[in-house]
Amino acid sequence: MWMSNILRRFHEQIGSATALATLAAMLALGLAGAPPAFASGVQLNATLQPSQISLGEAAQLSITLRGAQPGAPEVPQVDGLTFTPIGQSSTSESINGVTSASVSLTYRVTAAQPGRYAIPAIQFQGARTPALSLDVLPAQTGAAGAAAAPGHFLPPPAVGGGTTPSSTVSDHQSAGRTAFVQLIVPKAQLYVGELMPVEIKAYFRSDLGVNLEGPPTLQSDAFTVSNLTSNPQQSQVRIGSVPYTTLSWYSAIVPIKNGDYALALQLPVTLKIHEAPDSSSQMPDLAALLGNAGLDSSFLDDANLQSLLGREVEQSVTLKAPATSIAVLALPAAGQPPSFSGAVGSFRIETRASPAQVAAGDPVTVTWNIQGAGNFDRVNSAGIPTDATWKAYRPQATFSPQDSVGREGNKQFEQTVVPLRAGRLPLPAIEFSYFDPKSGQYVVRHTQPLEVSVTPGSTPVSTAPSNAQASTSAPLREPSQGMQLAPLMPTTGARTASLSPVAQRAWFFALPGVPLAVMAGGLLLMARRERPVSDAAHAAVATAAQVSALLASMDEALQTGDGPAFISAAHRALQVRLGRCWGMAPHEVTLSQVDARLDSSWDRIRQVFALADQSAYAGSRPHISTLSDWRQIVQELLHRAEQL
Amino acid sequence: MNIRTQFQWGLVAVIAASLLGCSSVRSAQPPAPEFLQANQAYNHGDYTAAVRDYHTLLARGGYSMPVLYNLGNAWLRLNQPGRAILNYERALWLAPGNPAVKQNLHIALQQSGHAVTQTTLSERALGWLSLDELAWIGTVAAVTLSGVVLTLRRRRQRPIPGLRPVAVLSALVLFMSGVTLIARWPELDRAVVLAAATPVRVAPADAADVSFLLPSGELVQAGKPYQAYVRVHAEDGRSGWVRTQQLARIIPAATEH
Repeated sequence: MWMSNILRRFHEQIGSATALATLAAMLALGLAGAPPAFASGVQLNATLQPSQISLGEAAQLSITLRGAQPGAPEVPQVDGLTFTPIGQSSTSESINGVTSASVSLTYRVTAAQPGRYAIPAIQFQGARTPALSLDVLPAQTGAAGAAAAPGHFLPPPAVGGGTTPSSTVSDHQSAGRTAFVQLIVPKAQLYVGELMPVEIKAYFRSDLGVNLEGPPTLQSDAFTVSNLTSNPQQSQVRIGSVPYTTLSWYSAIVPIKNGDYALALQLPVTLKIHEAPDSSSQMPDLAALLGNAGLDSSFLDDANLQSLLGREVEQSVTLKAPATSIAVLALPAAGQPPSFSGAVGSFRIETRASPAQVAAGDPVTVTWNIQGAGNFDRVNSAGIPTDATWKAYRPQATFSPQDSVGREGNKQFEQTVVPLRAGRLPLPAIEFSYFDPKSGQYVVRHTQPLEVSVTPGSTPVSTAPSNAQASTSAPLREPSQGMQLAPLMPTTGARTASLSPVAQRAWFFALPGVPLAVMAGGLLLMARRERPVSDAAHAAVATAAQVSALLASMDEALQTGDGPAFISAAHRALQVRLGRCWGMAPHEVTLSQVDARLDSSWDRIRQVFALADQSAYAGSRPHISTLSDWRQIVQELLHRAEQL
Repeated sequence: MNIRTQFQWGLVAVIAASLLGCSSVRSAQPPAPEFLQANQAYNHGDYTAAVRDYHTLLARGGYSMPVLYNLGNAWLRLNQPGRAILNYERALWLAPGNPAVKQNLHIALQQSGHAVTQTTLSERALGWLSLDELAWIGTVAAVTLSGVVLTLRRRRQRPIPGLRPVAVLSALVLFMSGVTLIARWPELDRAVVLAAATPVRVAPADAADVSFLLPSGELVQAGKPYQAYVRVHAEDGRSGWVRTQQLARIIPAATEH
C-alpha cells in the first residue's frame, strides 16, 4: 500500500517516465549517505545597471558569488560614490547530484557629483570581477530621460538608511517560529503629510511551502498607504541555525492627522507544513522490499526520504505584527508661506527657458524641476502668472520617481509663455515652498531669474510698459491666432430677474403634470367603465343593486295597487338572482330552467313565474289583495336563492 | 365636446402656460441711461467705471445677455479673465450659441491659459437649447400628448387620421426633453474660479493643507457649502474645498448678482 502511494505521488509530481529513475537516485543518495558536494572553484560576477545615470538618480550594483566559502566580498571605496546595501539573497541548486550555492549582494549606487567614475575590480577568495564604470550626468540633462518607462527598474527606498529602524516582530506558532512578519519603519515621529517609506518583511522557515492569499495590509485610519510593491523581493537568511525564506515589500505611508497612532500589519497566507511518517512500521511494503533486496531498513530514516514519504498539511493563517506606535506632529501654523501647497520633505528647484531668443508672439517654454525626497503628490506650482509682459498658459507637470514608492524623484513643470512685446524681458521668478521635517521649518525656494531676448514679431502686440497701472488698464492683448474682441452690444435686450431655470421652480411641474394626470385619470375612468361583467366582485355588487331596485319597484306597485307591475318586478328579481347563481343572463332563466334545476321545495318560484306568464301573455290582472303576501315570500326566496 | 372644441381648449392651455412661463422675462426696452453711460466709459477706456455701471444696471434691472456680455468685455480689458469668463458664461446661459459671446469667451479662456477644446457634436446638440426652452418644449409636448391620447381613446371606433403619429411624436419630444434636462441639470452647479492660484484645501478650514491650486477662470462643479467654504470638483477629477468668495456660480442664488 505504502509503495503504491509513493509511486502515485511521484507520478503526480514528476511524471511516470522519470518516477522510478528518480526514486532510484534518491535511494542511491540515501544509501551512500554522502554529504552535499559543492562545485570546485569560486565564481564572482558584478553587474552595474544602468551604467549611465543623472545626478540624483541611483544605479544598482549586483555581485554574485558562486561556490565560495561563507563570507562576502568588500565593495571598494570610490571617491564620490556611495554604496548602500539594499538586499542579499542566496540560492542553492543540485544538478546531477552536484550541489552548488550562490549568494547575490545588491547595492544602491549614488553619486555626489557628475562625472565618470571607475569602480575597480572586486576580489574575493581568488576570484575577481572586471572593473566597471559609471557615467553620472548633470541633473538637468538627465531629468527628461529619467521618466519612468513601464517596466523601468526602480530600486526600493532606503528604509532606515542611516537611522535606527524600529520594527516589531511577532511569531506565528511560537514553538519553532514557523513564520512571522515584521514592519520596519525608519522613525517613530512624523509630521502630517510627511511621506515615509516602510518595509514589510515576512519570514518563512525554508522547509515550508507558502501560498500568499493576498498582499500585506497596513491598518490605521490615520495614515494613507500607497505604492505597495506588487512583487516582493525574495532572499534567504539564517536566524540562529534555522534557514528562512524572506519576502520583502516596500510601501509608503502618509499621516493625515496629528496625534499618537498605531500601525498594524497583517498578511494572509496558506502554509504547507510537511509531516513526516513516524517510522518504517508505517511503510511495511517498502521495508519488506528493502529486506528482500538485502538492504538495511534504517535507510528509511533518511531525511530526504522522510520528506518525500510524508504528507503535507495546509493551514490558512493571518500573520500579524503588533501595532507600531507613531507620533504624528501637526505642521506649524506660524511662518507658513502663502505659496505652501502641502509639500513636506527636502527639495530643490532649478529652471531653464528655451529658446532664449524669440520674436514677440512666439512661445517660450519655461521648465523647472523640483527634485528631492518627500510627498511629491503635494508638490504644486502655479508657475508664471499672466501680466502685461507675458501671456502665460497653464503649467503641466510630470513626475519621475527614483524609487519604487515614489518618495525620491523629480517633478518637472513645463509652462508655455508668450512675450507680448519686444526687448530683453525678465521672466518672473517662480516660488516654491515646503516644510522641512528635519529642521522643523518652512523653506521657500525661488528659481534663478532668467531673461529672454524678444525681437519685434509680425503679429501686432502691445509695447505698453509693464508697470502695475498698465497691467490693469492696458488694451486687450490679442492672442496669436489674431482673434478680435467682438464689440459691445448697443441695447440691453430682454431682462430677467433670475438666471435660475423655470424648471427649478415648484409651480412649473404643474404645467406638464396636470395634463398628464388628467390623461392618466381619464384612461383609468374609461377602463373602469368598460370593465367586463364577468368580473365577479363587480357582478355581485351589480346584482345586489338590481335586486334592491326591483324590490323597491314591488313596494311601489303594492302602494299603487298595480298587480301586473308587482308580479313583473318579482319575476325579474328572481330571474336576476337565479341568473347570477347559474351564470347565465337573467332573461335566460325561464320556467323550464327552474323545473330542470330546482326541486319541489322551490314551487313558490314556479308560481311566481306562472303568474308572470299569465299576466304577460294571457292578460290576466292579479288583484293586489291576493299578492300582498307575496312581498314577504319573494324576499325569502331571494334570500334563499343566494345560498345556491 | 367635439374634437374641434378639445383642440381649442388645448391651444388655450398651451398659450396660457407659455405666457405664465415667460412672465419673468420682460420685453426689450430702450437702453437705460446707465447702460449708455457704461458703454461710453468702456469706449473711453475707463473700464473700471464701465464695470461699476454695468453692475448697477444688473442690480436694478435684472440680468440681460447684452449687459452680461459687455460686462465680460470690461473685465477682460481689466485683465480679469476669471470674471470675464463668468459673465460670458452667464450670457451664454441666456443666449446659447450667440457667436459674439462665444468668440470673446474663447479669447478669455486663451488669455487665462486654458486650453480651448472643440465641442463635440453631441455636446453641441445638448447645448443647442437653453434649459428654459427645453422645459417649455417638454410642457407643450406633455399637453399635446395628453389631449391626443384621450381623444384617441374616446374615439376608438372612429379614429381621426393623423392623430396617432402626433401622439408618438409628442411622446418622443417629451422623453427627449426630459432626458436632456436631466443630463444638463449638473450645469446648474457650475462655477468659475475668480482668483489666480486659488488654493484648494483638503478640508473646509484655513488651517487645512492645500491639495492643489486652481487658476483664474477654471470651470468647476460646486457642491454643498460648509461655513465659509464650498466643495469643488475640478474637470480633471480632483476635488477639495475653496473659500466661497474665491469663486462664483454661473447660476447664482436669487439674492446675489
